[in-house]
Amino acid sequence: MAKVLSNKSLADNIYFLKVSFKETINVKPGQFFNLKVCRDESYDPLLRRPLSVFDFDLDNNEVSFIYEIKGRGTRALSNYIKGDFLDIHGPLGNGFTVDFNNKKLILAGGGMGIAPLYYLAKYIGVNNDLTLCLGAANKGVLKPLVDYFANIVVELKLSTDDGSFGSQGTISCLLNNSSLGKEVEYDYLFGCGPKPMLEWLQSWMREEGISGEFSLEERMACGNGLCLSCSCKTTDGNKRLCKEGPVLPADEVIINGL
Amino acid sequence: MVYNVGLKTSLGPLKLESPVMTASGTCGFGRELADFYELKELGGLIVKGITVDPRDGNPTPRIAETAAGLINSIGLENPGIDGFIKEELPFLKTVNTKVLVNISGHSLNDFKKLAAVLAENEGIDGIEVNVSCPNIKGGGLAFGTDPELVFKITDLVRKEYNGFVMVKLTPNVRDIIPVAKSAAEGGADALAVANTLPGMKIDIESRIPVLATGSGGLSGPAIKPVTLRLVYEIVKNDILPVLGLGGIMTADDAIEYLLAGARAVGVGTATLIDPYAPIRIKSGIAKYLKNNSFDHLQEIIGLAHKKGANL
Repeated sequence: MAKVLSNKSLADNIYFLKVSFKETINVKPGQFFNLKVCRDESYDPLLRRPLSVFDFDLDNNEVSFIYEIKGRGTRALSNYIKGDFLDIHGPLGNGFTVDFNNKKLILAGGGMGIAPLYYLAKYIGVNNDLTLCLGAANKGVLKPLVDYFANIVVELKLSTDDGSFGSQGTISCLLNNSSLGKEVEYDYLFGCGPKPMLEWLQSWMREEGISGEFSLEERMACGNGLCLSCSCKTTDGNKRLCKEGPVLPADEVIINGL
Repeated sequence: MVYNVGLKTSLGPLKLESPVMTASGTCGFGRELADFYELKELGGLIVKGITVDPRDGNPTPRIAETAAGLINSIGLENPGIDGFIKEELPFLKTVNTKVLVNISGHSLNDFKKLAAVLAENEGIDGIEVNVSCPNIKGGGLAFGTDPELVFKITDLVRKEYNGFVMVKLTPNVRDIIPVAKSAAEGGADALAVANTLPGMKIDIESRIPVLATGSGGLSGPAIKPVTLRLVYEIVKNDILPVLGLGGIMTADDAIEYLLAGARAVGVGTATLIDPYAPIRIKSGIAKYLKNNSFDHLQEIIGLAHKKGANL
């Protein structure tokens, strides 16, 4: 059980949730938690909701999430208030590769896919040179998320579909753009976002010869590798995003392969 | 916790230390649950459905949530019988609980082959025959809706395999009794009642079904009254020992099935929400027996038939 410390709206339908655990936990960037959103003996909504970690405070055992209200489950979650208890499983999944030193790294996030990149940026930003390329539908969504990154010393490149904040277009315009600095050799890319974005990133990375990894999303039930709801096809067979993922090598993922 | 009540039970020749088993497709091949507790705590493990050849499974989304229910269309992703024997059976030989292997086929010959291969291998305690999959040659209609095909499949499996054979029935039939009787005539030792109900969810934004395959099998609390009634009906007809399953989330749910005459219960969807659910349910049953002054589980099995019911 975790205690809700804060559950507030950041923008239309976008919420920030912070919880504290009694027991000591250790969380890697890119891992996720599976949250039971129905209360007490209710069976509705029945399944847990998987949310990736936005931030983790080791000293206080506090975990933060950013989520968008997409349906009944996330709407039920948004009704929790400070002091409520949440039945949460986790941390689950493998998380991002974090043992980099003095590398030039790109973190590319689209929409709610930006959320898991914050803790990653904090974690690996100290020893590496980070370039963040973040995109969303509009300023309303992107600005509140980007504000968190202001505290970390990183290079931020922004885009919105409607051009209301940063460049106009998808994050492809940030990576193709001469502003990325073609003379810079990047060592590795972390990507998280909608499937069309990851598809584009995958081909761009192949062209540029940059390796990396994606944090992927799929409808999930158990989060423990039991049900095979979240299978993802890869060049190395099917992988369970809850167990072998959610982070998989970018080159192995076969997007829409199943 | 120790309640000092007897929890042993049996499904015909299969002796169980306790009445709670994990349903096929919700416990993998046991490894994941072994991270949470010792598998000997379970009455038994009914592992993921196996087919002759390996299967990648269906496209995603494979699940959709509905009111107190889960609709799945996983598509039998599994390593195939050879992969199972090579990669999963060695681990299953080490677990100290009953292990049943669920088999699925798309032709009569598939079932025959699967039973024959399992008969050659030690380390499992029985077969659960899934007759709910579509019969490709029969135009895609589920085998389990046709009593004659259920007889044929059971008979084929029985002739290849000497051990415990349980047939898992589909609830998607007008009358389940002829199907249950066919399984008995084919030589089954027990019946698992029941599989998921066909269901659908439509996304009103995209205006298409949520599941990539369009529809799937509904499980969870939403189906419990339906499958519970089927258990009651089959028990009343005294056909074969029954494993009751469908929407069991709590000990109270499991006790309803036992009162309806199920000799043991299967927990499925609940394990996906809480891996400890089968253990919690088992101790809840023990607590109920103790609180109601029963010494043994067997004393409550079928008690709900005393008053009778119109079916």
